[in-house]
Amino acid sequence: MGDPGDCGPDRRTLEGDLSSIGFRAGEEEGRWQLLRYEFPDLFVAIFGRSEDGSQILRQEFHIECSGYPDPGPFVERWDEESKSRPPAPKEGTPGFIDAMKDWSPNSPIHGGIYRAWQRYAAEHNNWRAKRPEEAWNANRKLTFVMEKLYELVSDQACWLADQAPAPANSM
Amino acid sequence: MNKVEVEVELEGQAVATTVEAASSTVESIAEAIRNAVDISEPFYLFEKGSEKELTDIGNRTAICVVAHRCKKVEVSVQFEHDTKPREFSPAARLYDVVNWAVGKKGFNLDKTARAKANLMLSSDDKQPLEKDTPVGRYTAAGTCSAAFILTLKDFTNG
Repeated sequence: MGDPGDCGPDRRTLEGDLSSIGFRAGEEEGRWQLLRYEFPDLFVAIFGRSEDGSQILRQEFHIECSGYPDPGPFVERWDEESKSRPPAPKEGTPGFIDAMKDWSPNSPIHGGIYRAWQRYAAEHNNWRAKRPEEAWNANRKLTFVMEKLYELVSDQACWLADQAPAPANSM
Repeated sequence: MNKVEVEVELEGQAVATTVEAASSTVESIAEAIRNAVDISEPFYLFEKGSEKELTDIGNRTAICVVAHRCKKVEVSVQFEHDTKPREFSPAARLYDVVNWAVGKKGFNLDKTARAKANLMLSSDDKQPLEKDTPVGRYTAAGTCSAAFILTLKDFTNG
């Protein structure tokens, strides 16, 4: 990361969060990985797990943090190899499909992850007021978003584990 | 030996405390916690999200832990007119409790219902509990038990 003296307050705050115990602990636990950081853009991989640990699902996201922590981060699906947003998934848990869908607050802007903690979704249908415990606020840390992404991807990992065929009985 | 930065949630305190342990052994982490906060009672240490007691953490440099008087918490979840019990560690996340409650060993809900599942402490609560919080935060005073209500109230943005 750059010399903090050259940074604006948004960058300093974000880099403080990236150095926080909670963010580093999540990396060391293997629940997420910082792939690339070029302020204000973060590119991360989330490793969601099924309940029994049999299924690990990797999902990548782009997190845009201009003005951080207010407004909150913009988060979208991402594919780091192609450096682009991949198509929305078509199969999975209802919650995962809903969160990862294509939508727009104002065409042609892509709305990002459809959850109350995400920058544009929070303002949609006054979701921020309906779900304050889920919504971003300026007192939150980046780890809050990472934990929400981990829950989302783990939900999908659980669904994938349920789809896997049962092992054949051995004689 | 590497120093370890520890974020610890103590029983009865929702705001975590930060301490630095001289090494990655459990004894060093426990000592750092006792030195930082006024706690005389014995406690068990768990990594947040884990069912197992904390053991040596190797070359980790950062960890989030839960320090709790209870080794296990008897969790009961009520859904409609039925209540089911299960033990969890104090460090288990409510996310894990929800997953159990909606699954085959819990109330075996369909996938649409699962997407709406949340936990509350009371049916009068206006908002569900945050799923990232540890079970140990909700133990009834002086007990090793916690009771939740599973709600399917649609909090999505319809």
